[in-house]
Amino acid sequence: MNPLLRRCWPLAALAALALLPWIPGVPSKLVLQLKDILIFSILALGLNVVVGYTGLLNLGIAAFFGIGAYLTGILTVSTFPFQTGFWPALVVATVGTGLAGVLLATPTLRLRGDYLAIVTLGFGEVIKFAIKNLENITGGSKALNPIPDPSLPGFSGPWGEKGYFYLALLILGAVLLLLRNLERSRLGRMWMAIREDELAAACMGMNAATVKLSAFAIGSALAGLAGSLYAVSLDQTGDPSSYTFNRSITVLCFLIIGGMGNLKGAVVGTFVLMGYDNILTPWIDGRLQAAGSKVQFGDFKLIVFGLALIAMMRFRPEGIFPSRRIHDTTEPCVGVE
Amino acid sequence: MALLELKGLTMRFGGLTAVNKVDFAVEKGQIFSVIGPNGAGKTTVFNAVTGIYDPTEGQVLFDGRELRRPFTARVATAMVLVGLFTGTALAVCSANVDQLWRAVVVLNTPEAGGSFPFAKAARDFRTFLGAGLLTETEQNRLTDLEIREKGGKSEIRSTTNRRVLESHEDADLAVRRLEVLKELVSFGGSPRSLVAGDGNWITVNPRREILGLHPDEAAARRHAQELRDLSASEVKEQPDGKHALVRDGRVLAVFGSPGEAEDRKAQATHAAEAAASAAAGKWLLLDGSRQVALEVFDSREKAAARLLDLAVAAGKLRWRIVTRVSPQALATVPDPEEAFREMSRLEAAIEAGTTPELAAIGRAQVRERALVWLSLLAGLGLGAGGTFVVWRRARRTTDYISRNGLGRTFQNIRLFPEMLVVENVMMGMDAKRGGSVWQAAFHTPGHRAGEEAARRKAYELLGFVGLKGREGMLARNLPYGDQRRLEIARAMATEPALLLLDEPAAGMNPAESVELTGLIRRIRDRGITVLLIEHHMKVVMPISDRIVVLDYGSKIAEGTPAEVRANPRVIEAYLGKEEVT
Repeated sequence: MNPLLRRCWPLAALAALALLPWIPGVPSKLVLQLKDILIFSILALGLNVVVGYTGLLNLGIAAFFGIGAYLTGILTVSTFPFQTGFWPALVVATVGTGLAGVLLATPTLRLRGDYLAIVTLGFGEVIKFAIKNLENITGGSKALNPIPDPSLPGFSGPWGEKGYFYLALLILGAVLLLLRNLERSRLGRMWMAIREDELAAACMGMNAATVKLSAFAIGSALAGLAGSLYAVSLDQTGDPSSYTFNRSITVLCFLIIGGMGNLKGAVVGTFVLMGYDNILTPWIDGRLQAAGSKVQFGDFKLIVFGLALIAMMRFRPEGIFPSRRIHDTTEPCVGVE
Repeated sequence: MALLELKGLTMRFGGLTAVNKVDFAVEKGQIFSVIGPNGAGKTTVFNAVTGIYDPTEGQVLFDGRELRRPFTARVATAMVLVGLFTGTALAVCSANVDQLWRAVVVLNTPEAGGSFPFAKAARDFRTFLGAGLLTETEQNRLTDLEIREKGGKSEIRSTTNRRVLESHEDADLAVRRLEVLKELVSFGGSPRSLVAGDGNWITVNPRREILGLHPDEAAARRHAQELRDLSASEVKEQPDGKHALVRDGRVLAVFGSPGEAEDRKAQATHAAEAAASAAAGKWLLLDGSRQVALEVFDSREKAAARLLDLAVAAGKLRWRIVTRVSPQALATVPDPEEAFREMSRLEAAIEAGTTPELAAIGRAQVRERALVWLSLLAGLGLGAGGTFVVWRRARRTTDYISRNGLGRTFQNIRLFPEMLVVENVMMGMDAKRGGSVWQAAFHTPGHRAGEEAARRKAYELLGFVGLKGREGMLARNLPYGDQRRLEIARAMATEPALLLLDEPAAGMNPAESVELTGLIRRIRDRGITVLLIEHHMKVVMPISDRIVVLDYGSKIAEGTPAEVRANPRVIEAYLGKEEVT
């Protein structure tokens, strides 16, 4: 691939996505589903910071997603006195979830690998039960609603799926840009150094604890951001089961399929898996039904997914887009000598 | 003063003594070598020096001091903050956070907006934690209003407490007011249907009865005119036998019988002086259907106060006095002032323990308060103590020692294999370079300049160790000897005063070893003191200023290369003892 194309295709893909709702004949349901995919891409990017870059296995990302969603709910619904509106709630949800990440990470910094995974798993369960049982705070299974639409100066009226689609696309774009910058910076290198060899990194003077904390904080903050967007686009915090272990594993699968430690991989993995689950499967089922078939593809979708995952692990274990570093680039670096 | 000084360094792992009372001093500018057979404890010495191990006994002095993190104000602040956080979290959790939230936030949230009563919420927070008395309002579903004729007047009164809310001479007015008041009382003190009047128009009569709610002025004026016309009209029989209400020859409405027409006219009499009025700046209370305006107020607070007064007067609301430690309400009273008095009375009674039940509640409160204080203190201790322990255990760590000028390489190469060669070297500089996350995330000019400078320096270092042209490769794709050189470049990037090289010639061929000795000399010439562990005598002997020989963890010899070479104990350690028979 020529270098210009290689550098520009993700931008072109985002631009094409932005134009999609204006193509005549595109059903509004597709826009709605794409909005969800965009939001989950942000979640996958957050997990990518912790698992992909820093190499700390986090099995509780859905808990942070939930914390973001419920913080937004608590701050905006009319049954509580805060009613800050969406924008301040978005900021508080992002920062607050980042803090929750720090709180979880601080006592677990010395743990590695499996042990940390178990701790995050447990944290996910704690949050799940907290959401279910703290009925006065989270609304329990009734959820918190309604979350009002974000206010924009000079715009009133419902946002609709298009509005949320563009909001999600805009924030995803900004997150991608910031993460790309971070990835190529001192902090990004330190994250990867932890993944590669923590002892060696510490012997180079790096305070592993702070670097891990920063990864956890940024990863959880992004998950909280995604949760906040998810809640406001649903107009409510949704079903508490959206924030369970299942979701954590699903998002981890996005990364595994797409490629760990790679921004493109995280987004493409989300698009491939959620596209398969939410767009392709219903479409095939529609076709089958129209053709008079009694077989539902939806019944087999998990089997197909499982087989695809096995095949992927066998033939391309590093994912669709391997971490940008798997392949050697012997080309000289730009800007020096 | 020596740059690095080991005083009686001893390392024990369980019963095994790996290093036994080793002393030596490395002077600035030297190339100092530690040699010895395999398993002599050389790498253990390195690990103890660089902070991977804490010495079992003895001291490691760098520039005359031990490298340990000092106890600074930051550590103390962290202890206090973490302690406070843990304490508060534990205290809140010990008092059932869900019910706490209900008592403090949910029950205090005013409906339809209004300001949050912070003072009351704070009081409720303290009372809840201490298991004190709280009030909860409760709606009395049976409350209704009725009209009773008394002394020629129509009184509107509550069916619950028989209190008279309003009394009117005009029976029709009383009927109309009854409907309005029923609707208002049903709100139970909460202005659920309170809307800002801006943009709305109402029609009112001089008694301030609201006759209609309209979206614009024209509609309001039309309605007012219509009502005035109706009240001033006469009933006239029409040629077709029907009866009509007529004013100034205009037919306003047609009815089948004269009775219906009379009724309609009578209904409109109270609207004789109806006028349209803008509701801008006012607040309107609408009925449940949000179609009919009931009353109009100057401010939201006045509306809320009026509703509360009405609900209290009609007996719609009751105040239950409850406590977290007892499931039943201690008392139920009909108005807030009485609730306040009753609470003071109950508090005194609980204190005095007048009845066995109240005494039991008093004891439970004491227990609850003690529990909250206990968890607060326990959390405080746990948080602060935990922070202190973590700080203590991390006092002497590799990163702190490295930042103070001790760089090292590893015997079994530990590069960052999936990172580029140049990035490996830049990593060596990264810990000392400052810069916030924000600068990195937004790629500020300052950040870019810093990265550029680091990259240039990395290129320079790579050129120095002889890896020019390999900068863009992945570290793991380098040949073995180059990986060793890369490790040296990375360690040099930390700007060490003392560089520790752990068997740098391992796995190198003779030509490479010779190259390496040149490199080590050039490192020393850059002003970096070198401490070397090595097997290869060809590397050690020509370049070392001073050599220490370890065997079974103990120092057996120290001196210049010539002295060490001649030492019989060294020969014995390396070649074995000559058996004399």
